[in-house]
Amino acid sequence: MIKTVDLTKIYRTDEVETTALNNVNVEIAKGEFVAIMGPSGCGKSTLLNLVGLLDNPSKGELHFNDTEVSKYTERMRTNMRKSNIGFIFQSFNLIDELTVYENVELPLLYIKMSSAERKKRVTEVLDRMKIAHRAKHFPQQLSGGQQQRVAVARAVVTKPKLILADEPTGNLDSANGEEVMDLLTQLNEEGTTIVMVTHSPSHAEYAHRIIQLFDGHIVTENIKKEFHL
Amino acid sequence: MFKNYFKIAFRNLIRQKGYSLINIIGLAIGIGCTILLTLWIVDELSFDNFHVNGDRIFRVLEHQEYTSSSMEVAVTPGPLAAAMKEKFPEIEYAVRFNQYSSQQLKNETETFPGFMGLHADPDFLKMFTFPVLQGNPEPLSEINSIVLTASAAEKIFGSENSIGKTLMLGSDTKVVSAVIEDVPPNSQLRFDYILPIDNLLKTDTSLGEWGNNSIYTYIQTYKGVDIADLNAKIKNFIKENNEGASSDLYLQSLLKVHLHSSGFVADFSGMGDFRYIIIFGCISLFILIISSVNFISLTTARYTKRAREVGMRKVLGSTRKHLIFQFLGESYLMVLLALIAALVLVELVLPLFNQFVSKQLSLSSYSNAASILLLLGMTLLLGFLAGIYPAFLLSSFKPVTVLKGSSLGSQKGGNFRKILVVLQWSLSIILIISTVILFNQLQYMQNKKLGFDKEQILYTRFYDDASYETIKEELLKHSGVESVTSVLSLPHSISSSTSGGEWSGKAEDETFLTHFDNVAKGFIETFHMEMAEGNTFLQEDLKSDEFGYILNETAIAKMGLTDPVGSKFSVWGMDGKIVGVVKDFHFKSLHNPIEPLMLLSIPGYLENIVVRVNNTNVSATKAYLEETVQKFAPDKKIEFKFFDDRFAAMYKAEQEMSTILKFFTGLAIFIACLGLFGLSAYLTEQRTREIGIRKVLGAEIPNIIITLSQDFTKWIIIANLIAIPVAWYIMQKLLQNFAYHIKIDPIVFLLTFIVSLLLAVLTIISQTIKAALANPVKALKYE
Repeated sequence: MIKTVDLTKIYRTDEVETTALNNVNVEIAKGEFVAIMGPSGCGKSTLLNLVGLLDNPSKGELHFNDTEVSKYTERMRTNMRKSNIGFIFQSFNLIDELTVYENVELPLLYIKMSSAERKKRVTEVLDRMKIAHRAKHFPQQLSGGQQQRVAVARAVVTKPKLILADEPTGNLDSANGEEVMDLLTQLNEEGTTIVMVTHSPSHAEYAHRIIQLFDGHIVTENIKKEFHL
Repeated sequence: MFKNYFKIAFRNLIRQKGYSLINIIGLAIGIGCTILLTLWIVDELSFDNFHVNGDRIFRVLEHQEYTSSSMEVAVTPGPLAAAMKEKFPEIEYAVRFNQYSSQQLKNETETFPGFMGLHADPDFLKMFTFPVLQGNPEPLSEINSIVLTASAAEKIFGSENSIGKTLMLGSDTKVVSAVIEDVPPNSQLRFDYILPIDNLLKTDTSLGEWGNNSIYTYIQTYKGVDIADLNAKIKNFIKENNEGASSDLYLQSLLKVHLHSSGFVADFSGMGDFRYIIIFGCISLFILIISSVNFISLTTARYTKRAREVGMRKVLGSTRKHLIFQFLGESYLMVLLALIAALVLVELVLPLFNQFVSKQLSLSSYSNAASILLLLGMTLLLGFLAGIYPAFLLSSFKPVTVLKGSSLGSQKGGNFRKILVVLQWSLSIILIISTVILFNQLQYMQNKKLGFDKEQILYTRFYDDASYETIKEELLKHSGVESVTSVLSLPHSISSSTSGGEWSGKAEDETFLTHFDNVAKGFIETFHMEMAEGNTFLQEDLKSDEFGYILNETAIAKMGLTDPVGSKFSVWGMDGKIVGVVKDFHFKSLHNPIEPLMLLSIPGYLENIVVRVNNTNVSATKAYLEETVQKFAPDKKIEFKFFDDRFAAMYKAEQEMSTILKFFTGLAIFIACLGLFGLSAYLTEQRTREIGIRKVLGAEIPNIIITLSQDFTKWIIIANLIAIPVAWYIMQKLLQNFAYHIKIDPIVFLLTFIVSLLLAVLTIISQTIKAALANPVKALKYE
């Protein structure tokens, strides 16, 4: 589903040039659950952002569903992203001014889904995430675990083929962390490809494969579970 | 999606109450000021536009050229109108009229003072659109007829039909021939009644002479007439009809009379000035910019609060266009709320504003489609201007950066914000300086030594040659009366002039224009004027067939006389001699330089009794004056007025402008302070962590206050540096309109500098002190 060829990202300021990713070659198959690990600043999030089409690489190729997308314009990336990729962040990134329901509904507005369909889809996903009773609440009224469940609901509501999770359990206690990991596993089992950046070795254990990054390079790839298409 | 945007906008509005309030109040005041000033400007621009044939009506003006001066004159000779109509086939109507100041009308039982009258040719009502409501459709054809406005008719006759009723004007009986609609407030011609002009010509035959300029002449052309062509044809018409005349004629469109007649001689009172339209237009624009800047700088300062939302929206599929649309929408919502608040404010303030500007402006009179469209247009433009930069800035955030929680850098949009604050304060400082200088100029004009003493003088518009000496004797009996005289024109506004002066040694080709006033004995003494040499009329010693003339110093200098007293002088064939030279005094407003002046003392041609009183119980003296003169004027209600009030009225336009300027400058500064307060609150909040670290590292409260204040003070200093030269330039230009004006004192700039700095520091001090006093541990935790 995803293939990178010598993917490189260099950040330049007036005086300093920092190579965040250096000739990274990785392939992620459809339906796979991949964890990316490594120390802070090794390029995990940069890789995730490139794969998630939030940023363009400085060099190299990025194939998404066999299409080379590294040279896509912002508009093309947006279009590709909104119907194919869901995001989950460590800090949830819910919009404070919108209720739980409205936060989850938001991605559906961008894909111009009809009102009735939206309502059905949001209700379903909130039920599934066991957060429907909080639909009218604002994010600040929820616990961290609940907020992350809303964030997951928002990520999956468009039924994306790929979910990118950037330290999704980083701000949660262990019980809530486990709960989110169970949700991701469940989604993966239903066929969604998941790429997750994490610092937690125990949560990385949920993945089929762990990619270790260091200084912008892949140092090891560790297959944890057998994965069949 | 729109619903979603609206929800976010509305919830943001409620959540950030303080910020929303600052924004809405600032914008509302800004829009309110703009609406008020626009109402004023629209009213000024609308003068005389109600006349159906306004585009074909022209005022006939004279350009007079003299050896050392030239002037534009609003009055023309009496025979001009008829002669023009006869000579030029392009002219459909040509009418003459003359305006008279307050008169009193009497019905059988009651006297009604304070009516403004007009003498006019019969075609006056055909040319101008003052519709006849009742009575004769050609009501000025009979010499004893009088046309009343609806209000005048109602005041005098109540609800009864007034047509055919009689009333008294002085000792003349008039028959009401028609009632016309009230004169609209935006008419340059102000009157309560009209009389046929023949009444006037009958009493003053000199008005029928080509050499006498006393009457306004207006023409209406046929459709399709080329005005440039007609102007060329009429140019020498006076010269053709009056040998020796030096005046050129030209036409001024009726629609330009109100605003484009600055400096014209013998013009109507209550004229506007197009320059004020420009000045008020600029003030209105300044205030709108100042209030929009608040919106822009506060929105951009708050960008970190919205960054995550923007990032997330982008991640979820929002394009930049969506986001720009969203933020512009928020801007429009804010402007719309501000507009509603502004309309409420305007409705509340309008009565006060009307008092300031002596108008009857109302919102309802502009509730037509064009005004509503204008208001909507302004809202759209303002919403766009205020929202477009924040929209572009906010929508430019990279989701990768903002969602990771990385610092956006406190400078994002910071430079632009600095420019805006500097711009805002520059405009405010320009307004402050202009207000102070204009106020100083007004003080100067009202306190300048005029060459006569305007205090303690009372006058009444009454003169009767037969009883004058007796009246004078009676008045002088009162211990409160110091002296009595009589004048044709009061000495603050002598506008009559003649080029008929002759003296020995006058060059043959010299055309010498001198103003003149006819005065009674005691004039110089009553007004406490000083003589440069010679005698006053009280002391003059003349042969019975000789006329005595007093000239001012400027006249003597221009005539080139070295020993004027006793030398021969004549005007209009009245031979006499110069009996004295009066020291120059200002006989016009200080907009004009002192020009040559001649005082004569011809019995009969007088209109006002003037009395100097001492300051013991002035009201009792005034009552005595009125009671005494009333005995000699049974047909007229005698009222004595204070001359210095009349004098103040000369600077009404400047007074109004100064008041408006003070009012709007105050508001502009308030808006700018409001903006600075909001901005400092946000920027200080953004620096919470920095302040915490500084305190942990040992910074004391004063250090923190100075650190936080120095940015703002730097901006205000830069704003001063920009505004001071601009304000100096503008005011220098404006002051040139006054022949006598103050020199701009640098202390004004210094004071403005200090005041603006103080205002800014006072505005931000509460924020900085709060931040400086905060517990650093909390600050660091918070971050």
